[in-house]
Amino acid sequence: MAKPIKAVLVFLCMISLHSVNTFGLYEDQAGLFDWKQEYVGQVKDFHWDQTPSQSGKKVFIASEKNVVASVNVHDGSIAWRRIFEPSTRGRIDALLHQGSSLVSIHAGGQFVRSWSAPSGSLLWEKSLSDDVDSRASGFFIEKNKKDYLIIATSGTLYCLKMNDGSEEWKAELPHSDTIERWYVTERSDNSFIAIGITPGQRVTITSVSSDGVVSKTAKNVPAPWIDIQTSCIIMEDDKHFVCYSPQTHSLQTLGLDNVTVFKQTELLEFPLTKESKIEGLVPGLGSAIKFRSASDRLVFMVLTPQETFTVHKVLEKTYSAEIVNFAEKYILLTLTQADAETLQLTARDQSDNSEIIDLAHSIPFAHYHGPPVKMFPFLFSKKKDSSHRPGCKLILVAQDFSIHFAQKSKSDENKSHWRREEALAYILSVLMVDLPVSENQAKFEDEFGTKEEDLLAMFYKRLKAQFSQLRGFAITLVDRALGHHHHHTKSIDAIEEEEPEEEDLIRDGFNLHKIIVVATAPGKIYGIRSHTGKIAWQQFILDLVPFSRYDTQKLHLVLQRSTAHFPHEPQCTVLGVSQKTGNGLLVSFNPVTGAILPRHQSQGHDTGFKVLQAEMLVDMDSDFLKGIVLIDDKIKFHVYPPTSKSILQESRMQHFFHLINPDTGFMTGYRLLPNTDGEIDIEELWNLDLQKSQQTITGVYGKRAIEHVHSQGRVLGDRSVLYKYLNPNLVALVTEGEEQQQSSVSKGPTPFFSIYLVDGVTGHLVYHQTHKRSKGPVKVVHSENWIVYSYFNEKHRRSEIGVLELYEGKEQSNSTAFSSFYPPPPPLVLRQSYIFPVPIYAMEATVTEKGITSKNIIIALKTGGVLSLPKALLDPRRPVIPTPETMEEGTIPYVPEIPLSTEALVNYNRSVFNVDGVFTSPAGLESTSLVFVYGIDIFYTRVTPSRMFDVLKEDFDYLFIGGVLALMIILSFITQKLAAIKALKRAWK
Amino acid sequence: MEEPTQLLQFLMCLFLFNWNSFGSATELDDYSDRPEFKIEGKVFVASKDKEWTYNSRVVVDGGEYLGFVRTDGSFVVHGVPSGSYIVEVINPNYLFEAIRVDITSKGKMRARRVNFLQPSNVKTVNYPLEFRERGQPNYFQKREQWRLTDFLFNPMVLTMIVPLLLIMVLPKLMNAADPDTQKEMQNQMNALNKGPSLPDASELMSSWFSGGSSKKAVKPKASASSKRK
Repeated sequence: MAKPIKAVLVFLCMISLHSVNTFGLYEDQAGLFDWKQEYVGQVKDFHWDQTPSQSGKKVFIASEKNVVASVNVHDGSIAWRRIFEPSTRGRIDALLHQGSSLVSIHAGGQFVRSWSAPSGSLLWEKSLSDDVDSRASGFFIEKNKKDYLIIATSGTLYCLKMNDGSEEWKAELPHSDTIERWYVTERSDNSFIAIGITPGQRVTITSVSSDGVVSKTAKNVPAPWIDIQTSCIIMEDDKHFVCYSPQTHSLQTLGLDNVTVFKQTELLEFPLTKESKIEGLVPGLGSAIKFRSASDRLVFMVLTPQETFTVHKVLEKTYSAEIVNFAEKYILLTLTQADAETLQLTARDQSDNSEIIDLAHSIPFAHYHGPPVKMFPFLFSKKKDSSHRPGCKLILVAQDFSIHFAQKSKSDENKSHWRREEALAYILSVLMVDLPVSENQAKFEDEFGTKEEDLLAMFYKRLKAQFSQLRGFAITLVDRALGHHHHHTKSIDAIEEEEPEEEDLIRDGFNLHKIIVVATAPGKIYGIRSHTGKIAWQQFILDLVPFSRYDTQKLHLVLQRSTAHFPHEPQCTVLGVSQKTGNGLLVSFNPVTGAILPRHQSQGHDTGFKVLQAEMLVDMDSDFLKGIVLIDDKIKFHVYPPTSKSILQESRMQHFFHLINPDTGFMTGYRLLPNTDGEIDIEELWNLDLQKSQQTITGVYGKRAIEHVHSQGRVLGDRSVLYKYLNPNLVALVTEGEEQQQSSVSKGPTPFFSIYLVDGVTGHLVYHQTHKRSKGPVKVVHSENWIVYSYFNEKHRRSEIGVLELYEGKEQSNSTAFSSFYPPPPPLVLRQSYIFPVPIYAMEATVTEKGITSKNIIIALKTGGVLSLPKALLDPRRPVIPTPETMEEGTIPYVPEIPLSTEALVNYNRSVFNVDGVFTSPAGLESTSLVFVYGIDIFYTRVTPSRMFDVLKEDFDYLFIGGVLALMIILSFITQKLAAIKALKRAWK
Repeated sequence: MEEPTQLLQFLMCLFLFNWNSFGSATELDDYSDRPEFKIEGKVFVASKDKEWTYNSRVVVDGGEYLGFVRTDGSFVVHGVPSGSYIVEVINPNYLFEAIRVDITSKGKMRARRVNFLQPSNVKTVNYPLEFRERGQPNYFQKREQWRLTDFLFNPMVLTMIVPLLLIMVLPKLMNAADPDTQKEMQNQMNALNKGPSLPDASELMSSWFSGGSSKKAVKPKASASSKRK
């Protein structure tokens, strides 16, 4: 008898499970609320497309983010893009392009891949070496009308056939165990000369014959100053090897034929900076090199017969210079600053130093890109003109990683102009800021602003506000009647293609449109309109670099004053490190307009000390500004802005903070103590030793300050309430380590990780759990009374998601406020773990205005999807055997594997890869949470975890409902009339 | 300028040092001459168009190792050390089943079905791997459409139609039967109609505009101002 009941229960539960899972988009909603932008990253290698028919229509870019991409020249869109592993395996050592061949060399020659230039599909792939730390290089040669590829890995020189990648010959190079990089060139007699670099020790010179026989004699020349990054070059005559040694401020020249020491040329004529390096050879000047002295100074130097260098020409105030061989002429193109927002491209014929007017071009270039770093000109002769005048397509790479394209057009409108903001592939922190309300509404709000006003004044204000509203309404009516739309005259500076529309930056009815403020690793700050994805403003802080420790980079971004305090402008602050001094660097700006505070203009505010910890205060000062507490490396206390200090002294709340030192494994709690003479002392309160010898701290996760918890407990099946343990000071710590196996069949150490839940005020350890034979990377979401974390289970070789939920029990100890000093009894910790079939990049919980809506967890999957997973599926109260009571409560029966449905992927087929993080923000609608996913792609959408319960669906059929209603009314009138007639007839009977 | 970078280097060294102290010496040796193998296979998609190969990636262990699909559908993932991996083919427009590949330290390959629940349960599949298209993913929900049949067979509508039939048809059936009952019915109808029924439209209008005109005139204005909020 029990069996059928159970079956029915299971069936019902399955139905409920199904209903939980169905949060999808409708097909016509695709692209309505979401957008995706693809990026490439900082340019490392660059080629103009040379495919005969497609010449100059596309460019090929290899980037620091391990991406090879082809970009359309006419509009800057990506034609195709290949993303490689973010680890060293994917590092691109070289991107080679000639004719229609495109070859990328990765990770010291571990991979050599040949791509089809038009489509980006893989033609062939070779694995040559497994020494990933070395650098490989390569070039094309032609032999017997066939193309070959020469590739030098750390130990071997390969000659590959270009058409299928098969090996023609290979030559073992000497000293392969120490040499990390070979410079190879082909000599005029088709033999090869190879120069190998052993960092810190020597260079080795050997030669290889044209059919791959290595000469027996390898020459070693000591060079203790050399390393793998040293800029070196083989001269045009194939007889000299030149390096720039920054330590000795000199050029080191080595004759390859017979000389056995480097000859030194001191560089005294011009200053040297950290940007100094050899940029390349100069064609048409004999044996000459182009040397960059500073970001705006280039020097051409010629090799003398005495094997030293003399200065040929110094190009002052020049960002970039290239000598191009075009139509049998050597043309020198230089890029100089014309004025603050324009660059000037000048072309000179090298033979007679005459200027070529056709190529001269002034390029609008905004100051917020920093100086241009490199330019890639492409000269062509205009076919339409009979005079065959030269034209020039120019691509610039600026210091903020942006890529600019400029081409001189006939009508001088600079229409052929685009840029790619590649810094957006390096987002480190994100904030979503409300847009300000319109002026009228601000006035409306002003009515209730001050309390001390009398009745009459308030009445007057109200009248005034309503009058202005009426006037505004009349104006819009008149405008509409005249058919007069706000025609924006085309903005004068053509750089600003975004066309800032002031009226656009106003809050919409449901506060769904926000400004997404992002801070990026190169020091660029952007404001992005959330509904279009367009850049509203940008600022480039040259000195700003992120905090970087253990391979992770961080920038602190906080909102000090929101848009709610109308006469005061909103204020955002970025905290990073000053590149010059290494001290903390603060930059405050208005997040809506992007205007930097006047005293922070362009450089930011150097704090004058190294910042260890920064936290924003909860209390606002008289200007509604929340101060930032900064702790320096000597555990001294600072406040920014200094005026906020009074808040700390006056406030009755005590302030606590904790520092975590991954080097020592200690977590230390402190208290701020205002003393009698107006200063604030720091008192150390407690210490927690997390056993550095066994494990390292890899992550600390607190709760989000903006989060509201609507419900204090959960109603169980028997109508009793299980109260949540809502400690706002709870911090989750993750430590990872390895333990030696006890058993004799040792397979080496096994990894483990632990989660500690610590009260951040008292240092009280609330809960601790260790997962054995499991490893990170552990991603953690900490919200309300639960913690969700993902990890890899080594024992079962699968990804899993664990969940901890903390409850006080059936009684709540203090319903008004939580105090860490009088904590409730140790919480009840419920836990469960689930198999998650796909590995995870990052995850975050949705957050809504009042916390009424149920939570979803937004998970960026490594398969490219962004999954919106209901928290109800990750509930530790999911019963293994469902009972009527659990049914009543509405929990879903336990299934070990989390089902993934493609309908729950909020980014449908717009896959995002190499995701760094997910950011969520509440909107004005309680049902809606905004999601921003960033990495090499950026993706924005909105999710409704409990459906749109507070607005009518947008497919709501007004016409149908209205029609039915009207029909009903009409029918009722008609039937009434008919009934009256009938009654009359009956009366006459 | 040198100081911070040096500090950083120092920190990095410290970290690296600690890292090394974790791993045993044997593992470090292992790493340097650990043999590396390759995973080979082919992807089969029904579509004739070669477009799908461009945005397909072969992902081993969630992107730790990557492979790219050639135009004929074949792929090779080079440089994979021995171990157990999950190989997936990712394409936003097609679904494929993942395959687990085990590589022994001698380079013997074994491919089997992925079974997360019972990892020890082995069901081998062919090696070199064969990925076959398993349909196209459905990212979107179907919108509910209004259809007459849906409307008619809706239980609510059915419950309304049946009583309606009873009211309309039954009196007709009873009509011929008995004059007494007919009279009774008529009385009932009269009783029903006697009470104040729906007010006449003209009456309604006149009562509105005569009685409460001053009150109602304000109303549209107020609603207009609230609309603009």
